Amino acid sequence: MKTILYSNNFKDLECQSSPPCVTSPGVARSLNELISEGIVWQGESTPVDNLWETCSQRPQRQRSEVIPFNVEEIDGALSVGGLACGALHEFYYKDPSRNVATSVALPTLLARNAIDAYYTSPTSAWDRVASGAPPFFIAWIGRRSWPTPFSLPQRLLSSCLFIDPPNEKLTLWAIETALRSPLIKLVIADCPRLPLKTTRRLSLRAHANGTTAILLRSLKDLTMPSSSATKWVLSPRPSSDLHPMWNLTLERSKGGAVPHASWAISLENDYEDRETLSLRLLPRVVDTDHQERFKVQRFG
Amino acid sequence: MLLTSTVANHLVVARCCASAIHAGVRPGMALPLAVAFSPGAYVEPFDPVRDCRALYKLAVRCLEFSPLVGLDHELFVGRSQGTLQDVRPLHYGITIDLTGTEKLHGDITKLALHIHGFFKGTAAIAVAPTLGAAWALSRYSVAGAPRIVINTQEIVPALSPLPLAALRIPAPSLELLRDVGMTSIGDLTYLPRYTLAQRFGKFVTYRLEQAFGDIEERLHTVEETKRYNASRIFEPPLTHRKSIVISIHSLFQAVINKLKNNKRSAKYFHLAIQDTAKAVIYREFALASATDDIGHLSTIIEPIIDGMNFSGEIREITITARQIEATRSEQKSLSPSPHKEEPDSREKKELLNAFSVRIGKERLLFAKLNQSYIPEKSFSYHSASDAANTMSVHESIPHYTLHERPSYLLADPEEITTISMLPDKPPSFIQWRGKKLKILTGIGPERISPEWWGGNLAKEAGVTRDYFKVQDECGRWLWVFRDQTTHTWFLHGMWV
Repeated sequence: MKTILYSNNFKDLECQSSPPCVTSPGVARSLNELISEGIVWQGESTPVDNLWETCSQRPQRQRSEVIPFNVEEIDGALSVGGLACGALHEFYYKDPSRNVATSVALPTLLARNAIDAYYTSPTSAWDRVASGAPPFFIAWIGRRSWPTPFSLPQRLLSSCLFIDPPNEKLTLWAIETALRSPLIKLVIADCPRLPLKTTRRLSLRAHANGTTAILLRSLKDLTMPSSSATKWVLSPRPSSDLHPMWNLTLERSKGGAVPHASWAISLENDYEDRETLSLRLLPRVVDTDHQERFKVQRFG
Repeated sequence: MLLTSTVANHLVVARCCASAIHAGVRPGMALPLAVAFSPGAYVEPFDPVRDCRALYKLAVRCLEFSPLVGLDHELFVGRSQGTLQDVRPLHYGITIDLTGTEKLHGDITKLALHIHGFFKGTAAIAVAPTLGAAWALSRYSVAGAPRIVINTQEIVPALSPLPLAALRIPAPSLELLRDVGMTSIGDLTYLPRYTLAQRFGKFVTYRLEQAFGDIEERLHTVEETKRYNASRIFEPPLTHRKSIVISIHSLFQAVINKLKNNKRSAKYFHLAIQDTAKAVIYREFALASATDDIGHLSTIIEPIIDGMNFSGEIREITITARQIEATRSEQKSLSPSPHKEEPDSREKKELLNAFSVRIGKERLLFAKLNQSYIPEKSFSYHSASDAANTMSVHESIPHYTLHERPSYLLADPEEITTISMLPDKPPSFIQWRGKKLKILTGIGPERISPEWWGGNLAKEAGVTRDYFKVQDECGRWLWVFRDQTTHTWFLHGMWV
């Protein structure tokens, strides 16, 4: 069903953003008629950002239109049950020694989940292919966002496109071009400093095309305003067993999710099928002084 | 004029002009000697590919005499196999099929003289009913006026006095024939053919029959290259930016239309804008794959044209399309399967083009796994424009889990300072990028050394490494290794 988002200053809206859907052309009907039929939703006279929230709260958003974490607790904390497609999501990496600015492991997991969701949900994949849509590509923009290829499963690797822009200006251009492409469904980018205006443009672009963008940003920019749907902070968590663990915090989420929700996570490979990777939630241990705890476990 | 090539580290004359031959220079002569014979000669390295191209262009110009113009078989083989160096100058010839064209010129003799005049008398010309006979007569008859043989019966008497080399026989057979005292084609004519083939190789009789017209011969024809360009001269000159941009777009449209009409698409576009002061602005648009879609092309050229600075009055705009390819018509499958990937769909080409024009082909990459245990060698990035690499299937290549290998590798291992116990204990302190990190826990070592099949050379060049997966005090996991020959520590990757 086609939907128009309608507000009192409809003209303004049309200029500023491209509404996600329009009615079939050539059929001129009065707005009231459309509203009564439920095709048009009446919103309030809002700026673009509020309109955007209305979009992300649409109740009929399908399961296939999110990138799931495949963990009940985290997916449940988000109003749509995962990272909403067609939006910006920001990931910050809190490195205690400030040597590394980006996190790669969690975006890799999300890319896996996205491609699994794309290929296994039969209706959506069939629909997309039947309508002439090409395969699913994932663009990794900026060398610091590239994961090690040998840890990616074959299906993911064959649909990865690695882009290495020479400077920040072209990085931004590459993100925007990738968001515009009908082939690329997920953009993971090591992102330069972005002003609010630029993030708004990117999120409108992402929304218009249904492309999801995961932006790996520097922790310095965490407090900067942006129009992304979610903001996540990842920090390393000392682990007693021999696997890396992280603290994942949902800093901000549009659409009424719990803010500042925090989880301890680790990424686990399946023992049977080495190619699968899943996110595991660890019991939350409140320890402020974990360094003391782990001091004992030195090498012999 | 002398063209030189290098033989055993010596510069040797490969080709020389008539005046140099007159002065005593011969091909194969050492360059200093040749220069002594003809002082002041123009010397240039011999480039057979360029020679071949020039001959091709000349052949294309000969299309005005006949629709079928060809080059020698040896030249074609040499060009396709890259062995042009070995093709003898005798084979640099043009064959024109005159069948049925003599009426246009009145008479075959007149036509031959006309062609003779076309080459300004520099070419040796012969007309014969068969390719072999024409080849022999043009190369080995006395230079001067065109040699013309019209009837098939005249071939044998015309060829008889010519040397055997005129038959295009390979050198070993030629040697054998010379040993038994055969020097001219006439000597062969009356011998039984089957004994000839047995004793001197089948090529002898084959070439002989070709020359006499008993076996047909294939002609390698040349084709006129079609140019796809559009240009416009403005009188009065353009000054307004908008009108310049509009005319550039309309010229691109014209080139694309030309391409489309011939079912061609182009990979490279060249734009030249000349102003009244004769200053020329050039812009090149090198795409990743050929296109004939104006909509796609304009999305690529628009940002570039927007960034261009037009100063002065524009007199002329020219757009040339190069690297022409045949357009492949695409048809969507009627029953699409959801798992089938179309590697070269139109959208993909357009995406690659959009990126490669702005940031370069080498910055748009696909990853490929390689059969190697050394971490940095076990994958490689390939330019996305090489379609062959993009869709390769890697079976039986080890796949690592996140526990075994880090999620992020540094581009090059970075040297770190460590405190660790010898001989093989993991580090307890490391200093990396100016930060001191205390190591709490870890696992290792995992020894990675060059593969045995690389041979000794690889073993010497590569070094054995002991990898440790260690956790620093803030909980970060790092992948460090010790070079076993120098005992230096490096940080190679991390779990971030």
